[in-house]
Amino acid sequence: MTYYLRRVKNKAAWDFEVFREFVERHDVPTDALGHLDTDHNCLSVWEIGTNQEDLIRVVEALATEREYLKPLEYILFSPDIPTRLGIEVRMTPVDRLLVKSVTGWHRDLVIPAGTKLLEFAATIFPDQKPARILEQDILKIIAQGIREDRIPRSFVSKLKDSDDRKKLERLLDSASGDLFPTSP
Amino acid sequence: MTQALDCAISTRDRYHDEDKYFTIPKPICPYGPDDESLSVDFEPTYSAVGFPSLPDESSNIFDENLNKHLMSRTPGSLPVHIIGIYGGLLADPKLVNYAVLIRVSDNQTATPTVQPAWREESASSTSEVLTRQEIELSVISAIQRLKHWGLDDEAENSLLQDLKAIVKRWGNRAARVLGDIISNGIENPSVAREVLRAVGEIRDARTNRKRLLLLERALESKSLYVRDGALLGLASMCSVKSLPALRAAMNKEKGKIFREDIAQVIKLIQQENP
Repeated sequence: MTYYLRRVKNKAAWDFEVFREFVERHDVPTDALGHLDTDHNCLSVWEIGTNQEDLIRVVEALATEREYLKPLEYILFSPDIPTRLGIEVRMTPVDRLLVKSVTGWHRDLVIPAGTKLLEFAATIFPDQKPARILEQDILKIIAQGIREDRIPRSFVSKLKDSDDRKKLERLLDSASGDLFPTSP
Repeated sequence: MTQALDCAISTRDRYHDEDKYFTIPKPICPYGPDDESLSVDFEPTYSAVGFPSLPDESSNIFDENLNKHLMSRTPGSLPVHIIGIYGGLLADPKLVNYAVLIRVSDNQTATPTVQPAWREESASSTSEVLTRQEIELSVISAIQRLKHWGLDDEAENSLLQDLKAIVKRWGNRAARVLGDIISNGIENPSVAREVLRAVGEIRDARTNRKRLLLLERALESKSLYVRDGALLGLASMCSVKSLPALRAAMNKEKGKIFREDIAQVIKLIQQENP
């Protein structure tokens, strides 16, 4: 079994329990819709297995694309939904990533029409799971990735905030190599 | 004669505009609104005070204009010189009107006698109020910049850096102002969420207690975005002191999704503080 993972700006916008009226109307809050920005009419998602290892690999990839340490928020939904809606799914490896092992896990959902995007968003809204990896866990995941050579150590210097660099350096220098994320 | 006087000046539009409007509020300066010579168009909401600075180019412009004004209104009066500017020429949120509180003297060699406001533990009520206004303006400007630039990583980091600087400079006073601005409600909940997250990210031991309290209070907001921002802020602070408030919020929370988010933060805090 697999999921599609889509990074979102603010998982609270996807809280279908709080925004229940949208579920009832088969609609989606505009804020949530705004997180589904497309590029060349393609919506970028990652296909991952249900195991934590896959999630951590994708988190490594997404977190190391950024220049600041901050929580990573995402939604998970079933790959059946795009298929059911007749949305074309393309396998589109991403070469720019620092974490090469997940390159082949990237998918583009081809959604040329705005109405289709809205239909897609309204369909996944009640069926997705919003989640978040906290900053402290991001830090641990990156440190572990560096220790295990999946992430180049040079990533540390890519971080723009000196506090972020210090935090990561401190963690890398600490004896503990354990990774116990609190996040799912 | 050597005499130093506090006086407030408010300008319209720009410093270098020909026409300057100013007045001197009575409690601050012997010249008062009753004094024909200086009673002009003062808008008290724009008065601001912060720290004295040495006269610079802008103060010279004020100096010149103040004297022109004095001379025109009170022929024969001695020229005055600005010897300190309090407030750093702060702008109001719409960036239209400016106000400064200056210290003037009729002696060109006089030096500022008032210490920077933020160093005064028991500042006078006037300077306290004016300092608060400066903090408010700084915070509001930082928040407005975030609003205008949009919520991306760069803008959010910029907000964090701004708030760090404000808290570093004004300590608990800044934390208090931040708390008030947040509890009065930031118009845009997405922005409020980022502000709260940034409040938790600031590393400043002096203000830990105040920031913790303001985040705990925000955890009770009706807005999910605000509660979520408070939760992220508390996760950043990672203090065991917030555990009771987090547990209470978890018990109160109706939604399962956000309850799980709170549980995640509680677990994090427990793990990080064994």
